[in-house]
Amino acid sequence: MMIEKGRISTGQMELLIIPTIISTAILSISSIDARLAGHDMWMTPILGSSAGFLTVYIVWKLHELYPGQTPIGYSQKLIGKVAGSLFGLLLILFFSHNTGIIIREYTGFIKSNVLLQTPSIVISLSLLLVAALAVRGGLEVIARTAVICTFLFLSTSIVLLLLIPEVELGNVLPTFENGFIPVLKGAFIHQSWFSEFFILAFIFPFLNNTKKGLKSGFRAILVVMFILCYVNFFVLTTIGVVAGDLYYPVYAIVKSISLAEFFENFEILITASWVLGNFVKIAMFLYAASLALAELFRINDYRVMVLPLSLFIFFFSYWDISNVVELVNYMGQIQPFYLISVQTVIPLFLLLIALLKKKRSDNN
Amino acid sequence: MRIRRHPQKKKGKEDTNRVPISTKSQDLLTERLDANVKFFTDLYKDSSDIVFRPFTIGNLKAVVIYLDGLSDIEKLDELVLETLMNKQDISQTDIIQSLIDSIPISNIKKISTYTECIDAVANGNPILLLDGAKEAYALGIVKYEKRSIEEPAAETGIRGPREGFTESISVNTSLIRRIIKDPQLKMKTFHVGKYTKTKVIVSYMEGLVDQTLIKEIENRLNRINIDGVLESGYIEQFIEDNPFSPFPQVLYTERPDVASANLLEGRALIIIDGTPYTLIAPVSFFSLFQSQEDYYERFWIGTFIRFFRFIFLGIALFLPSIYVAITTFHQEMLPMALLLSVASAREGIPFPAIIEVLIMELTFEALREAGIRLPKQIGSAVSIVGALVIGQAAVQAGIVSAPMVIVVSITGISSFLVPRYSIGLSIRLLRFPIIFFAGFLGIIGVILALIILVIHLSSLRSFGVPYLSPVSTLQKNGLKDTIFRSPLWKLDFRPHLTGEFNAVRQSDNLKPSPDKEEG
Repeated sequence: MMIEKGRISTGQMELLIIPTIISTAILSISSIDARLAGHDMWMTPILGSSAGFLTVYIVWKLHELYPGQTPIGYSQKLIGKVAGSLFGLLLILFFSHNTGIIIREYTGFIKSNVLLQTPSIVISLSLLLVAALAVRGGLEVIARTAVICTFLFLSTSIVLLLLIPEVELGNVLPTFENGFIPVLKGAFIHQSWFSEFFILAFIFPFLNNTKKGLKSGFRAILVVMFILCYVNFFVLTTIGVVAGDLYYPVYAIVKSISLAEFFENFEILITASWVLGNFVKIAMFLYAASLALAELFRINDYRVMVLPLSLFIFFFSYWDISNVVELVNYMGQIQPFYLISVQTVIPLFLLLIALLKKKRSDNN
Repeated sequence: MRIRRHPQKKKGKEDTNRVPISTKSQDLLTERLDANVKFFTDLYKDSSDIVFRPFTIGNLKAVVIYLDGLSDIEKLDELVLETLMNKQDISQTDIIQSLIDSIPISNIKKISTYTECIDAVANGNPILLLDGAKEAYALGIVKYEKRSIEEPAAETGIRGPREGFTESISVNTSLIRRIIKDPQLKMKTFHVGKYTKTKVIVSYMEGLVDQTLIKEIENRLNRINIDGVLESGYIEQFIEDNPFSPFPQVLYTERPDVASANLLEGRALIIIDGTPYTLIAPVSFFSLFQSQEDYYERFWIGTFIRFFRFIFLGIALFLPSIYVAITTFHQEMLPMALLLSVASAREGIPFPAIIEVLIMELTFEALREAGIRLPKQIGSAVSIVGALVIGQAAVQAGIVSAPMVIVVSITGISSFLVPRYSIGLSIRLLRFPIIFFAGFLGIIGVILALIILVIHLSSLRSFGVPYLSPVSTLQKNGLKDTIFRSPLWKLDFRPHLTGEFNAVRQSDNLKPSPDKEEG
């Protein structure tokens, strides 16, 4: 069953997936990194990306075995109707919950830094509804919108280069102060973000050039890795390991930019462009959730799912996490296990089952 | 290729009592001259500009009917009446054919129905009715007053041809034919409008254009069933993909060179009689920001000016809202010195920034509109009143702040930078909702408005072509000629619009260089 009729190119897919990973990552990951990995935080994304490569490879293999199908479709073929449907339901709940947390992060940040007096509900709902508008347009519309939004979002990262006069390379030393374990810990945090590449499983079937999917997925991982390294490097070299005490270290370093006493206060620019990235991320997750829900319940049009799901996600964003402290704890302690188990481990089992099945049918 | 088809509406009851002809047999001319003439005198009663001229050829009775002012009377007198009336020998067998053959006019059409006669007269062709003949003859001696070819008023330029389209469709098609001499240039004629019967020509380059596009244009044109077409806008609004969008989905031009360039890029023209504006379809958002001179000047200049236009597009759309956002929500965003001067200027202003912006923007729009509609003599008075009273007096009286006046004027000037008037209108319109977004959610509101705008543009299509292509569809060759203007010798491929197409525009390695042996 093909619910989505649009087709996108691999380039559009890359521009869709890059902000889907980094837009929440750049906000607070450096803080957790600084606490766990200390002076070695600049290298954690490189190790963390391994989860990304693994996830994309798994998803790609599954896509090759079951071309044109989303996880909802092939999971039912792999592990039976009941178990497959349960997995589908789990995915939908997971996407909704995860999107709720993203909205929560976004709202918390905007509320505490930009719109101090605006009610949180307005901040969350406005972005969610705009994302729903895009999702209702279909994958092609999301992709075309993402091209422009991602371009604007990523282009503002140039601003960090203005920090070069304040870079102190000494902050990078000593390397491996406490051995290799802290780096692994930091990388483990990154893996949870990189495992979000799982969402490509909902895009691969709709590529107009399906052969290049794996390569372009890997390319997107490299770009994400580079940007996270770039951000971590500037956080480390400008404010050092103190970043661990800040909730939003990137915001803090951008705030400190001051050139010729005129080029300052870039934080608004960064925040504004960050909204663009967040929009792409939420739209992507909302799209995957709506598509999965429609496919699971065999509804021909996923567009009708978008608004009810948005409302559901909106409630999720207020049920689970009540404040920033809790959010940071969640990201440091629960999220790595949670995201990786749903997005990498379960698909890995699916792939193993699929390979076993294929072997058996080949033998027969 | 995906083209959204318009749903076929059930055709309404045809209005049949305009012409007293209901069946096909009734429509045929009779052999008796007096019956034919009576039909026309009844039809054209109370029409003083219709001329009936009865005369005799020997003893054969004949009548010429024509519309005063649409036909060349001198030619009619000299070539038709004089020739025929001087005929004496009319005792031949095939008398009528020999009479017609003796008229020294190249374009004579034989017609046999009343409807055709009516059309011929309405188009300025006198009809010749002969007693005993079942057919009438339309004489192709049309002549009416028309504007001569002038410089296009709305699309001026420094460099480039100065000829513009006129209201006469035959002049317009000839202007295009003079540029493109290849027989692959096709022109298909349609008639739109129940009463005006306006001639509409769909023109395209066969082999370069996607035939499904032409079919779709024909379908959409055939669907139109209205009283009259007075301007290209009538056609435009009936063939759009999304009629509720604030953005133009068809381009118009009054320059033959722009029209020809678009033909060569595989687009189609819709030329309409009675207006100097020719429609171009399909169109993308980025082609609305191109002007012919981008190509006529060096590519550095073209690229620079295009960048400039996009920057000022952003300013025209977002500057007032950003001003509202900053002064209401994010004062800390400004550098200290600038903040102080803005704050001191705003001190004592009785309105919040959003009201201030709305007052000024609305006043500016009113002034602009007044300047267009008023007679020229009063127009200057309006601008003086606007500049002095609104600009200076309002600031001095403390109603609006001086930075506000600057913001509104910069916004106004920026919106004039767009080379196409139709997209300029969209920008004017969209500025207001964005101001409201900024008033509610500050800079976040501006960004949300931007996202909504991009979503809308992404979902828009013009005759099946995504509106934001080739940028948001990431077509590498298309990008060379959208935001940038690559050197002409680099533009080896035509823009990819839809489906199968004829890609190669020119041979590669056209980069000019001095002869290597000499250097």
